[in-house]
Amino acid sequence: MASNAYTFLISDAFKNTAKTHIPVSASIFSPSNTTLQSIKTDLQACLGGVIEQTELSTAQDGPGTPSPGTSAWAVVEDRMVVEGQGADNSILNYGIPAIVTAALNTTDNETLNLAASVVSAWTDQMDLYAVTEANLDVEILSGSRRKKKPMKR
Amino acid sequence: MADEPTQLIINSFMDGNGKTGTHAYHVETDTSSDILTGTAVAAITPVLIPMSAATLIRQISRTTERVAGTSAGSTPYTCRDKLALEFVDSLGNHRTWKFGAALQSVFVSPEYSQFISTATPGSTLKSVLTANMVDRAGGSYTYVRGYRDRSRRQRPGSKKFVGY
Repeated sequence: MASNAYTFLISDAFKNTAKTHIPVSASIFSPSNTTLQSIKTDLQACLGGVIEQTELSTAQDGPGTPSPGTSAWAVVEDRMVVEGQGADNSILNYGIPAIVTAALNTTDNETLNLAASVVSAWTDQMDLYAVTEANLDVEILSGSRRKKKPMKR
Repeated sequence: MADEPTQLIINSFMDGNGKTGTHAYHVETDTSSDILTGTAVAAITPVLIPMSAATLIRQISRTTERVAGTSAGSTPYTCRDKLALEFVDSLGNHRTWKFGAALQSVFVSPEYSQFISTATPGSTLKSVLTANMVDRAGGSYTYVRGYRDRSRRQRPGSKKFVGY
């Protein structure tokens, strides 16, 4: 609850911008939300600038608890980068930190195996739900492993 | 469809050395339920976790709506000339929120930095923020004071002061 906030981006005639975060309990974004509209209207009435962007950010703790030292080889810099294509032909990269061995091709243990069950389960859901920033469908195309050069396991 | 805002989901992972890495994607805006507990995130998160040897420690959602065709603010108001409102939360902590390009009419006069909290539009803003802001403990904020926050260049007497 306490991490949720409305952010208002205010711009002036000189094209300067300023952001203000207002902590609120709202967790659902709706442009017609009465609280959002009230704050926006009353704030705009006090401004010579213009509110040009409204944002709601929410946060929650993940299901896992950090436990340093339990898996020394699992470093976030050893990433999997999956490439997707939007319906507008834009290219999107999804990086996943600390790649698991089950996602790699067993022949070389270096390249990403898109057919591995652990990967395909994720790509299937991404094909269903992921969209571009402009709200267009995304199709997962390919993927690769990215890691720092001296990093080997 | 393309005009609807989308929701950005950011997953934060932590490895065994305490370093963090993120994974982000956009989903369609859900205006009826909390996106972090909604259908899309509930479908993707369980299949994302096994792909990383690090621990998923935090999920963040961001939904941004741009106001189409917004005109620029009127001169001479600038984002560097701010209205600052100070509040105290239920735990006794003081916090200040600053709003750029505040109207001259919310202050006593260009020469003074006093916020008019007893007359509109300042009183209305003070009330709506007090009524809707929540602190980290879920409690409410109490208004303390308001003032003008601006650099010397924005003050009367400065060569850079453009006047009102």
